[in-house]
Amino acid sequence: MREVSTSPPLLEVRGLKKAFGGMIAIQNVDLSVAQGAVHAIIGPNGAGKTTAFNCITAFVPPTSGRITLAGERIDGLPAHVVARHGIARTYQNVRLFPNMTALENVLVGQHRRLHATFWEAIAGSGRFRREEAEARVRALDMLDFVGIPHRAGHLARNMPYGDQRRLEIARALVGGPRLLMLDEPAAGMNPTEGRALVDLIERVRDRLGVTVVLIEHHMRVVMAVAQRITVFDRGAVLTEGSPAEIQADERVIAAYLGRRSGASGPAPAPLEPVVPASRLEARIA
Amino acid sequence: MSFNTVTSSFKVTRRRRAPLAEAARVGLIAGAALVAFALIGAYAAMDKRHVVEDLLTLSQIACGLMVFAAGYATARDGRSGPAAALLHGLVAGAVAGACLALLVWLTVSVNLRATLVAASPALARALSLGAPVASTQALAQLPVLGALLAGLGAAVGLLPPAGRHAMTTGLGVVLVAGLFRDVFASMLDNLPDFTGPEIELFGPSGLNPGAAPVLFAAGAAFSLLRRRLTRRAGVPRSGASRLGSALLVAGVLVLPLVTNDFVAQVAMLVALYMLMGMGLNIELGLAGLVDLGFVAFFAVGAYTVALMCSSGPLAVADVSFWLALPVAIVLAACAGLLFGLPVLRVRGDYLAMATLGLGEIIRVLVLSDALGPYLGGSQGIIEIRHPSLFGLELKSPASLYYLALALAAVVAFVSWRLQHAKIGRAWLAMREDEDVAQALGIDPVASKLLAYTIGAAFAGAAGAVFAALIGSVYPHSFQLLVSINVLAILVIGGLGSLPGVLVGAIVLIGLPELLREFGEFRYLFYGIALVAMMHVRAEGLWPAAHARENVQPENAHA
Ligand SMILES: Nc1ncnc2c1ncn2[C@@H]1O[C@H](COP(=O)(O)OP(=O)(O)OP(=O)(O)O)[C@@H](O)[C@H]1O
Ligand SMILES: [Mg+2]
Repeated sequence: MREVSTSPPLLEVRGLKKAFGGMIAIQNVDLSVAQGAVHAIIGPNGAGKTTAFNCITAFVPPTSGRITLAGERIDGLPAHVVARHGIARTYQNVRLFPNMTALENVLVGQHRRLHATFWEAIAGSGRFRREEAEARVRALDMLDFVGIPHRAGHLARNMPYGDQRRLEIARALVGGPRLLMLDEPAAGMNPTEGRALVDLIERVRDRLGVTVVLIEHHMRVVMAVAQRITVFDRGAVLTEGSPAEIQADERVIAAYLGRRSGASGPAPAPLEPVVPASRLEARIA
Repeated sequence: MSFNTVTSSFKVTRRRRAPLAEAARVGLIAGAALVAFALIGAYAAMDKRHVVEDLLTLSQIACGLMVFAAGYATARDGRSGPAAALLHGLVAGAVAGACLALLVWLTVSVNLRATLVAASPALARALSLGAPVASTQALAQLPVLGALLAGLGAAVGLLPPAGRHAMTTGLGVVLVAGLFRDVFASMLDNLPDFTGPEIELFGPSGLNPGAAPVLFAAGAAFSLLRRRLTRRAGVPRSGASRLGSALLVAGVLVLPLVTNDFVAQVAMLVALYMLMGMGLNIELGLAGLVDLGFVAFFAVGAYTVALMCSSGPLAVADVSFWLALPVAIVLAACAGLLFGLPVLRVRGDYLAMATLGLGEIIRVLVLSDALGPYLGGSQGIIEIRHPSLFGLELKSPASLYYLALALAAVVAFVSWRLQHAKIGRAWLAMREDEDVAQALGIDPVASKLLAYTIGAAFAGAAGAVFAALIGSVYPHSFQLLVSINVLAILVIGGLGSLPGVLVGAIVLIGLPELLREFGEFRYLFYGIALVAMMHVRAEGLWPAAHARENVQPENAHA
C-alpha cells in the first residue's frame, strides 16, 4: 500500500473546509505533500494554518473535505486512529504532559508501539519486560537525537522553553510516524536555536525518513529547510511553489502587508507571535 | 481538567500591608481563632486531656500552637530584619493573648451564657491558668504568655532551615507522643522489658514532665542528624524517602502485635480505606477522572459477600469467603464498567456531578421496594460469616487487619505495576491532556473504561473485607461521605501517589479514630488540617510528581 510505482503524495487534502459555527476558518483547501519532503505552510495570523493541521489530525472534525494518507482515507476517523495511521504532531503552544518527566513523555509517545497486555504487565512477563526496556532505550535515544539527553529525569514543566519544544518533537517522533506535523517549531527561538532546528528537521527527514509538514513564521527557517511552500491567506490557499517562486511572488508579500493594515479578515489570535511585516519583506528579499 | 480542578481551586493571593499592621492583623486572626476555640466548647473539652502530665493540657497546647504559628508566620514573612521580625512576633502574640483576656473578662463581668453556652465560669477558671479567676494577674498573664510564645515562634521562624526543621520536628514528636499516649503506652507495655534503668515516658494520662524535653531533644537531634548524614553522603532524596517507606512498612506490619485491639481495629479501618484509596487513585490520581460515586463499588463488593457468605434468610449461598471474594471483585469491576459508560463523554466538574448521581442511584436502589426483598432494604443483611484460613476463623481485629493488609499489598503491587506500564502512562497522559494523549494514539474510551473497571475492582475488594469484618451490611454504610473521605485521602496524600494513599489514610482515618474521645471536635482539626494543607502544600503530603522527578545534582539548576 505504501509504495506505489508512480509515487503518489503521502498526504493529500482535497476541498477541506472547517466552519466554527458561522465563521468559516478554512475552505477549499487543497494540499499535497510528497513522500520524503519538508513542506512548509506559511501565511498571516488567523489564516487558518493551525485549523488545517487540526482537521488533518482529527483534533477537530472537518466540516467537509477529503484527506488521504498514503492512499487511505483518514478523514472521519477518531484522532487516535489517525495517529495509528502514522501522523504525529506538535502544537503551536507547547502541549507536553507537564507533571511527567521528559522520559515519561517520550514513553507515552511510544504507546502504539507497545503490545504487552494488561495482564502481562501485572505478571511482569518476559515480553513486557523486554518491551519496556526497549522502549526506554528508544526514548533515551530519541532524547539524544533531539539534543536533550540530560533532561530525561526532569519534569516537563520545569524545563526551559526551547527544550520543551524539542521534547515535544521527540515525543511525536518516537512513535515512528510517517508524517510529522510541526506547528511553529521555531516560535520564540533566537537565530542560533533556529539554525539548530533547521538541522534537526533535516536529520528527521534524512536519517529517520519522516516526511515533515511545518507551519512557520520565521522565513529564514522556512527558506532554509523547505522544498515546497504553501501560502495560506484568509482561510484559503493563496499559492504554492518552491521557496524561490514564493519569494518572488508579489501576492505573498501583499497578503502579509494587507493583513498588517488590518483591512479585513479575522484578527490574529492573542498570545501568538506576530511577524512584523516590514521585517518579513526584508527577509524574503 | 478535572485533576486540576481538584488541586488548584484553592489558590490564595495576599495583599501587602505595612509589617506592623500585618503583625497586628495576624495577631487578631489568631486571637479570633482562640476565642472561637473557647466559645465552641473545644477548650473545655480538651482541657481534660493532659499531654504532659499535670503540666500542659491539650487545649493549652492547641492555643499555644495557634499563637506560636502566628509568630512563626510573621517572622517567615521575610520582609524585615531579625529584630523587627521578633518585635512583630511579640506584637502578634500580645494581641492574640489580649483577645483571650478580653474573653475572660467579659465572661465574668457580663453574663454571656444566655447565648454562648461555653462562656461559663469554668472556662474563665481554666483560662486563668491557676491564678485567681479573672484577677488582674490572670488577665495580664495571657498577653504576656502570648507574646512569649509568639516571640518563640518568630525566633524559630528566623532560624536557618536546619534549625527550623529540628525545632518543629522536636515539637511534633512531643505532641504526637502526648496525643497518642494510649497507642505508645500499650506498645511499650508489649515490648520485652529492658534490663537496666527504665525510663518512664508516660504517666496515666500523658507524657511525664521529665520525658517531654527528652523527646523534644531526641526529635530535634534526629532531624539534625538526618540532615547532616544526607548532606555528607550526598544521598539523593529518593534514598531518604526509601528509608522512610521501609520504616513505614515495618511499623505497619508489627502494629497490631505491639498494641491493643482498639488500635488494631483502627489500623484495619485504615487498611480498608487504603484499598479504596488505591482504587480511586487509579481513577482520579492516574486517569484524572473525578468520581464521587465511588462508594457504589464498595457497596457492590460488600453486598456480594453478604449474599454469598451468610446464613441469614436472604443469603443466596453460604460459601467460603475466599470463593466470594473474587466474585465480589469481578462484580464490582463490572459495575465500574457499566458506571463508566454513561459518563465517558463528560469532563471536569460535570463528571463530579454525574458520578455523584450514579453513586446515589445505587444506594437508593438498594433501599427501594424493588430490590428490598433481595437485599434487605434498610434492614440490611446480617449474620455474615467470618472468613477462615486453614481452619482458623479470622475474627480478631488483628487477623482481619492482616487480611485487609494482605489485600492492600496485592492491590498496591498491581497498581504499581500498572503505573509503570503502557496503560499507567496512558492514564497519566489522559489526566494531563486528554486531546494530546489521543493524538498520540491512546484510545480515550478504552483507557477510561479500564480505569473505572480496575478502580471499582479494588473498591469491591475493600467492600468484601468490610462485610466480613462487620458481619453485616446496611445501606447507610455506603453514604456519599465515604466517597468524599476517600477523595480527601487522595488529595491529602498526593494525587497519583501510592505512598500518599497510605499517609492520607493514616492522617484522615486513623488519627480521627484514635482521637475519638474528643467527639465532634476532632472534625474541627480535620477541617482545619484540610484547609491549611491546601494553602501550605496543595500537592499533597507525598506528592507523586516529585517522587518521579530524577534530576542529577550537577544539572539540577542548569
Ligand atoms: N476552536 C475554534 N473555535 C472558533 N474559532 C476558531 C477555533 N480555532 C480557530 N478559530 C479561528 O479560526 C481562524 C483561523 O485560526 P488558526 O488558528 O487556524 O490560524 P493560524 O493560521 O494558525 O494563525 P497563527 O499564525 O496566528 O497561528 C481564526 O480566526 C481563529 O480565531
Ligand atoms: Mg496557528
